[in-house]
Amino acid sequence: MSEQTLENLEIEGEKGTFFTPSVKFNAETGVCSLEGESYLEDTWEFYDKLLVWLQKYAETGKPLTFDFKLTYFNTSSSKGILDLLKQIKNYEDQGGEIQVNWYHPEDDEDNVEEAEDFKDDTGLEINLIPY
Amino acid sequence: MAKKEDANTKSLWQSDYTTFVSFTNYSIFKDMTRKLSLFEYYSLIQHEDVIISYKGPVTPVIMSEISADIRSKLADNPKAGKKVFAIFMELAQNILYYSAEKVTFSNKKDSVGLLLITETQEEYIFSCGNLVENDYVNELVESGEIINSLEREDLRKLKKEQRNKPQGERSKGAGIGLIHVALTSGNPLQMDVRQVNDQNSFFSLSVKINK
Repeated sequence: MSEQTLENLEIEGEKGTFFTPSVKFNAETGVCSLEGESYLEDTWEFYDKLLVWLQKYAETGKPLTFDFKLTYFNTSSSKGILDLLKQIKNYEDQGGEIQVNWYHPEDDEDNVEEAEDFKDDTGLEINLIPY
Repeated sequence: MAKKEDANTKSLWQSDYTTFVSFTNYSIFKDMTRKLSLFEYYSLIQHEDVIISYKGPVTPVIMSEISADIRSKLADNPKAGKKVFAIFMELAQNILYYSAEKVTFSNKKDSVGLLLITETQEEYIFSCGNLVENDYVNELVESGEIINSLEREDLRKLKKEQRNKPQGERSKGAGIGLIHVALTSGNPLQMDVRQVNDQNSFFSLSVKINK
């Protein structure tokens, strides 16, 4: 177990030339959310930051709840999201207690299909929640 | 402006693709005996309602402006509008990263391409075109044909396979972008290739989005 205290990770969502999703990773409660739209100048750099945090969080052995609430993401981002889900699955395989929620607009079939494909790809239990 | 770019434009003019007038390459104005007329370009698309028509450097800033415009114009039909938006984003990024035609302003090199969104009673039609290296264009068309030959479930499988592959030096061929476009539209990809010179071909891609 890591001796260093893990800080919360927060990135403010932004819609400019690129779209940055809002990130709220809580090291205390283990509730993490990724919300908004994802189309980034440097996709790898952005998702790598999230992956590193999750890796460190997994070392604490605490439960993890991950909420996805994405309305748009490009295919590059979808690779980043897949990496996040694989990391979460990893944690589960190591005995971590995890819950993954995927919020989607009620009538957005494409969004649901994406979530199903992520489910298929990772073997993770993903709760689909319409809003 | 580099010599290579001039050559591309010149042969575009000499080919039967005269309708694609280059707004960005001023070499066409040097020869003042040839008058610039946009009439053919205008006629080509006038039978349909044009939502967006753009030819020029495709930059992140231009993309963001056009994508915002798509969102506001298609706000009445959010379901189809979202699809048009996602398809635009994916294919404009393809031009941004892979167009073989570049133009330089103030030492900044930008990719050149053509983006067109039209509307009929039943559908939106998104089309884009750009120069692609001859060596690569066949591969591109082949992937498009593979995509068109697959049922939806198999296409989803292919998407997952591609997504799980490690990042290559260039996401060639059945890149996940084209697969995603086909899945989002639910319609086949329509492609056309015209070789413009020894180096490049003009590749057109068109896809329908049902209303």
